[in-house]
Amino acid sequence: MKKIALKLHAVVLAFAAWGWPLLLLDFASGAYKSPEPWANWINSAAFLWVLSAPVWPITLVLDRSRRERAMSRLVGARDDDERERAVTGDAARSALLLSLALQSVLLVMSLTSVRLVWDPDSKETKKGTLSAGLSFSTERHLNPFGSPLDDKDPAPRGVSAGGYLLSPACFPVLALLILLQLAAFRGYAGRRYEGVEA
Amino acid sequence: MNPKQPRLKVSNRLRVLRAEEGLTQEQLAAEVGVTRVTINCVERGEYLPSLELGLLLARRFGRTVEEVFIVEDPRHEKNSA
Repeated sequence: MKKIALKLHAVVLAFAAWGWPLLLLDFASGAYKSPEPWANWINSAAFLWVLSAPVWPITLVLDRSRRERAMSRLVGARDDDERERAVTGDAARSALLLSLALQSVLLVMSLTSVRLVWDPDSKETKKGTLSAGLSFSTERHLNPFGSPLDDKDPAPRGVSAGGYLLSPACFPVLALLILLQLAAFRGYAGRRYEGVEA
Repeated sequence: MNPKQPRLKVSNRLRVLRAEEGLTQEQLAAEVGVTRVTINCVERGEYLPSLELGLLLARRFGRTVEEVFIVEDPRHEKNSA
């Protein structure tokens, strides 16, 4: 029974990996709107691929050895001996720091609102003011579906352009990603420092 | 100071010992369980091997670690000069 399940899993993975052209074929040939029997077959096969596609990410999340093999192949990381492990470790550390720096910038961008204000009645300036500021609203930043900016923050008189540099809805996702990466790194590094085999 | 950088300069006689026995880098790598590139990096002084690999290499040639790896301590050279 287990053998059959593993075989079936392998078949579904292969279909999910190589069956994506069916989707393109379905779209390119217009099979999704054609009543012809051949079109029906292509459309069904493409739909089957859509159903099977999530098997890959789920497998990678659950199967550690497959995940490591896939990542090694994807990024070219090798760990046959101590020097390669050291090189991979350095590369992973640099990549993590780069990724965290980039995500931190994006996080700040999701908190930054910019307004280009032109106020003809302004006594301070004649031509107008460019202002940028940080803001945080639990309703806007902690709602993954976002909320319209203009309803909550009516534009002042004379605004020609304004808004967030990045959608506030990105904030919880980015914050969670940053925390997850830090926690994962600390978890793995802590195990190594204590000399426990992973 | 960068903590990753060793304070002592370490050179080695690996290339000479390997040539004496007529071993290729590939053969030596297979015997001590590393890749050929790692042996090449150790010989050129680009990679300082772990204590375990150092011991394995020394044992392979029937030498002590000090006979294979030579510590070049600039402070020591200054004192003896």
